[in-house]
Amino acid sequence: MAELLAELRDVQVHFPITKGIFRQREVARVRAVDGVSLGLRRGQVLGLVGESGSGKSTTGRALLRLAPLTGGQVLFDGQDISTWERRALLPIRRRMQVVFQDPEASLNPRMRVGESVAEPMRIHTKQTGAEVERSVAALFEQVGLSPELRRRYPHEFSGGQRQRIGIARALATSPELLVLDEPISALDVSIQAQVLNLLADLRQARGLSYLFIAHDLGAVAHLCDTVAVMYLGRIVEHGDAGQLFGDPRHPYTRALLASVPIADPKRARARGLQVLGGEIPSPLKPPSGCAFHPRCPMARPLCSEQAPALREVAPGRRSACHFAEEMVGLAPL
Amino acid sequence: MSQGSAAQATESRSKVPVLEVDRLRVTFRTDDGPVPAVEEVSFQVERGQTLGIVGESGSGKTVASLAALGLHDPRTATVTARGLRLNGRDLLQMPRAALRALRGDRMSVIFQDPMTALNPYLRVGEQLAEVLTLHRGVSQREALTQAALMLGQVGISSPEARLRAYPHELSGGMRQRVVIAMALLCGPELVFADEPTTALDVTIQAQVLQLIRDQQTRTGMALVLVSHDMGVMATMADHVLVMYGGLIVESASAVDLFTAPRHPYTVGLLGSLPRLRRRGERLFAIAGLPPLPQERPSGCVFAPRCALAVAACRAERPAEQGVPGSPDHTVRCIRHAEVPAWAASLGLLDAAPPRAENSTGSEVLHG
Repeated sequence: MAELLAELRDVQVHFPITKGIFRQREVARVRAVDGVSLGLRRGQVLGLVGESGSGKSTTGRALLRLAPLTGGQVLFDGQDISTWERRALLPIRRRMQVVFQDPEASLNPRMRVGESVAEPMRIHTKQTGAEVERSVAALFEQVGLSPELRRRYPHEFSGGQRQRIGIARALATSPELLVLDEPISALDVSIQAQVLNLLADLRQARGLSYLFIAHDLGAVAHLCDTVAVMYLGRIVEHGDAGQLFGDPRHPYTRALLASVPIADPKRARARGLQVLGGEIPSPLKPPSGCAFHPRCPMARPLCSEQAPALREVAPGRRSACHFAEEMVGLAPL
Repeated sequence: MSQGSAAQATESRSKVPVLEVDRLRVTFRTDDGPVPAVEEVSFQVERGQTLGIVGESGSGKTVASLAALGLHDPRTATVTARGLRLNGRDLLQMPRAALRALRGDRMSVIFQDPMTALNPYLRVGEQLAEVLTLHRGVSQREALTQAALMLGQVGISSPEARLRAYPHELSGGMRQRVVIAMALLCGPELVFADEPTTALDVTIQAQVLQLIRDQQTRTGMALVLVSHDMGVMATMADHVLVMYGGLIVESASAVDLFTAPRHPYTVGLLGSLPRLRRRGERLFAIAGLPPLPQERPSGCVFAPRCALAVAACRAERPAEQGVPGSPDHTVRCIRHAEVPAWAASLGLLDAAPPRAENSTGSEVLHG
């Protein structure tokens, strides 16, 4: 058993933009993921944060082998699965599952929800009909739904309940890894807390590992052991969640944290709104040097000339900023 | 800004509120009979002030606000109110044509999804200009000049070029800026924003909130901001209404609401926010689901999910009560006096209220 359950090594996912009807030629390429290296330890939760277009979802899909790899390697339990074919991947698929943001879109509206949960069991396990039935009932119980509800249809459930069903289905094959792609973003605040608690409980009970993709930094801080911050297809900072949020070593992480509104009127007013100017650039025309330099409050001439490497700046902490050392002990924004 | 039902509130201020809503009710007609979406809502907003409305889906926050602007569909919804006034103008008695002339001019709306507010077939310039040709009767040329000026004011670079863009050619943040520009073109007295930044990234959200605030300072417009995000509320609102099950369950100044909430639901909402300082701890989760409008209990609407509920809570709807020692603070809970002790016993609120100093380290992060 490898120490790392899953690993990405210099993974690239590029989407070519082509022109021409008969002879297609590549005119440009979108570098959605451009050299990402990450490891996920067994039983750990790794958070992936960044703005829309940063490549965090595509990174999750690359890990699941659902996005075409342009370069790099994907390892699962020590095995390089980068080039495996569909058939060879089937036993691996059983061990890694995904929960999407919108449970409504991932449940078949014409299928009883119990059937949706049973389907992956029928495909991936050798259980008999009665065994599947029992397992589905047990899963419903585990995600906090009454087992009788499994005969109902998706539209009869609230958003939070549907997300619980989505989680039950992801657990149907007893996976070791769950990729959670914005699993609480579509839910009401009081329901988000319920689902976050459920995810924490399931992790404990089943020894699961999560790749938790989210833009809600509060939820990420709450659930994750380590966090990677992405910007324009690359990791700009990576490290222990508590340390990274408490003492960011990349100006982008710092700006991201400062943009989150504080739920405390006095402090919110004292701090004011911290505005990071501009928007994430088009991945078709990434800026020269450091991709963040046009928006960076700390940028200097070097930043537009030379792309910074992601390097270890403190034990267990990687940052892709030329001036990461200057951020040590900087007062939070 | 305060709860409109209290008569002394109007007495203590000589100013006429920009928007005054008195006992607004909205009932939907359905095949299964009338469904009360909003049971009773009263509030007012003053010039330059921001009134925040928080609540979960189905709480009635959007329905109440839209009805106040006359944006409901009279075929399906019945709206009644004791009073509904925009700067003293009685909106209830106003013919629909006159109301339509007010909307987009004296009062305007910013919705969550800018793509639904913009017509994908029309260039941004045409859509902006239409507002001015319609409400101000200016020429197309003059309208486009003013539109470009406004786009510049909401932080869009090379505005003349952007006027020729179609909505799909703009990013989400840019589109929301266009929608804001459109809402502000006629210098409205009141802007109603329904989850204006929910679809945006946090960095863009901060830009848009800053923009709304700048414009508010510049023009003195009153803002009604509907959001489910407590962080956005704390940042923007002067006064906050908490809606649940078609009622305002708590109404207080932003500071009082966040530091000394009196309704168990408000306490639960604040307690369920992930806090950086308490990483890994279990979040306080309000059990159960909000009730559907047709299935609301006859007593306190929150009683089925409330840890403090007793038989009396289920017997009848609690009336609105003032909170002693906290001006402009009302709550619909018969046990509200016990709420602070209960919240403290659960460790749901940081010991913040007595000390005026910034309690450093109580990082509350919520995106």
